Amino acid sequence: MSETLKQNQDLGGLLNQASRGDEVAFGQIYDLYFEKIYRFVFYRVNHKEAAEDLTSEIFIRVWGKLSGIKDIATFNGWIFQIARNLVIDYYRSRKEHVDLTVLENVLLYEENFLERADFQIQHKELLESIKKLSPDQQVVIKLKFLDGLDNGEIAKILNKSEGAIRVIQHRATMELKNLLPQNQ
Amino acid sequence: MTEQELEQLIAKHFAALPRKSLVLGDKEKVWQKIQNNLRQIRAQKPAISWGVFGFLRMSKLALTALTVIVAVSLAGGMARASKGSMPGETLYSVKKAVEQVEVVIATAQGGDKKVTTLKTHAQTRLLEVTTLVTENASREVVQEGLDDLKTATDKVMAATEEKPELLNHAVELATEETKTLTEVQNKAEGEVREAVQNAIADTKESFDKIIGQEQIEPDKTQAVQGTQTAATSTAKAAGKVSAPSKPAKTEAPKDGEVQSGIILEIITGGNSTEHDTGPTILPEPNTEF
Repeated sequence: MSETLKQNQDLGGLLNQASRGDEVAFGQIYDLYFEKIYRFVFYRVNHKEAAEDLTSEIFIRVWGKLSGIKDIATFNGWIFQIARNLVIDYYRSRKEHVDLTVLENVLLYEENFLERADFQIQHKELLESIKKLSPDQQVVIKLKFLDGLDNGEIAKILNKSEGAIRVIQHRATMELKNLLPQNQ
Repeated sequence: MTEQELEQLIAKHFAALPRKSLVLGDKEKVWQKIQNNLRQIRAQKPAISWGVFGFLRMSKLALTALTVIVAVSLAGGMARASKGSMPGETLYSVKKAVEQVEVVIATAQGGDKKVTTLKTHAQTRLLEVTTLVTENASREVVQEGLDDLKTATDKVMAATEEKPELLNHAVELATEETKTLTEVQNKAEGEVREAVQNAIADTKESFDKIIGQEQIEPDKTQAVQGTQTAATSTAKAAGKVSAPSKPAKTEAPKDGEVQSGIILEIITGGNSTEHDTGPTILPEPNTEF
C-alpha cells in the first residue's frame, strides 16, 4: 500500500470520526494541517498574531462543516480554499485593496527585488519572467511551485476544474520556457 | 526539453528563491482558542428556540410517558370505534384484538373472570350472527360470523375443562346458543339457513362433550350442585340435549352437595342394577288375632 493511499485512508477515518463529534480525532487533523495552513496564511498576511487568529478561525469553520464533506480526496483543496477566502476577508475587513496575485507573494523582496543588490541574477530573471505571466498563470504557478499544492487542490482553491488548471499551468510553463534565458 | 523537464527546472529555480522569513505560530495557543470556541458552540446549542417542538426537550422518561399516553388514547379511541363493528368490516379485527387483551387481563385476575369474559365474547358473536341474518348479510359474512362463534364457544368449553366447577357457564352458553340459533334459522333462507343449521349441530356437539366430561370425571364436579348434576345426567339419558340446565323437568330430590356420581345415582334411583329390586315391601299386618 502506497504511503499516500494510507495517509488518505487515515485522514478519511479521522474525518469520519470528527464529523460525529470526536474532538480527539479533530485534534489529530489539526496536528496534520496546522503547519501547512499557518504557513499558507502567514506568508499572505505577514503578521504572526493575525495568522494565528485566521488559522484558528479556519479550523473552527472546518469543524462546523465536517458533516458536509463528501469527498475525502478534495479535503486538502477545501481547507486551503477556506484559508484563502479568510485571508481575502481579512484584507477586506481592513478596507485594503486585494490584488489576488499579490496574495501569493510569498517570496522575499518580491515587490522590490530589482533594487536588491544582493539578489542573484538568475533569481531576478526568473522573477521578471513570472511578472510577465497573466494573473491566473502567476497564481497557479506560485501555488504549485511555492506552496507545493497539486492541480486538484489548486482547482478547489481557485474554484476551477482540474483540467482548466492543467491548461493554465501548461501555458505558463511554455511562456516561462520562452522567457527564461536559454542558458539556465 | 519536454514539459516535465521544464517543470523540474522551474521547480528547481523556485526552490532557490529566498522566501519571506516565517515566524512560527504558537500551535498550542491556537488550539486553545479553537477549543474555547467549540465549547462556546456547545454551550449555545440549548439556547436554540424550540418553538412548538419544545416538547422534544423533555427527559426520556417524560417523553416515554407522553408516548404511552398518546398511544393508549389512540388505541382507546379505536377500540371504542370498533365496538359496534361486524364481521367483514375493517375495524372488526381491532374489536377481536381488544377482546384478546380482555382475556389476558381476566386470566391475570383469576377466579371465574376468564370463563365469564370468554362467555361474554361468545354471546357477542351470537348477537353478531343474529344481526347479520336479520340484515340479510351475504352467506360468506354470515359464515365468518358463525365460524367466530364456534371458535368463541370452543374457548369457553376449553376454559371450563380447566375449571370444572364453572361448567354451568358452558351449559348456559350452549343452551342460549341453541335457542337463539334456532330462532335465527327460522328467519334465514337458502345457504344461510343451511349454515345456521350446521352451527346448531356444532353447538349440540359441544354440549355433548360437556355432558360427557361431566360423567367421565365425576370427582372433579364435587362442588356442582347435586340437582344440576342429576338433571344433566337424566337429560342425557333421555336425549333431551336442548334443555340441559332445566332440572325442574326431573323429579330428583333437592338434596345438598353430593360426593360422587355413584352416590347421586343411589339417591335418584338411577340405572344401577343393584337397586333394581327397590325396597323390600313388608306384608300388611294380620289383624285377625
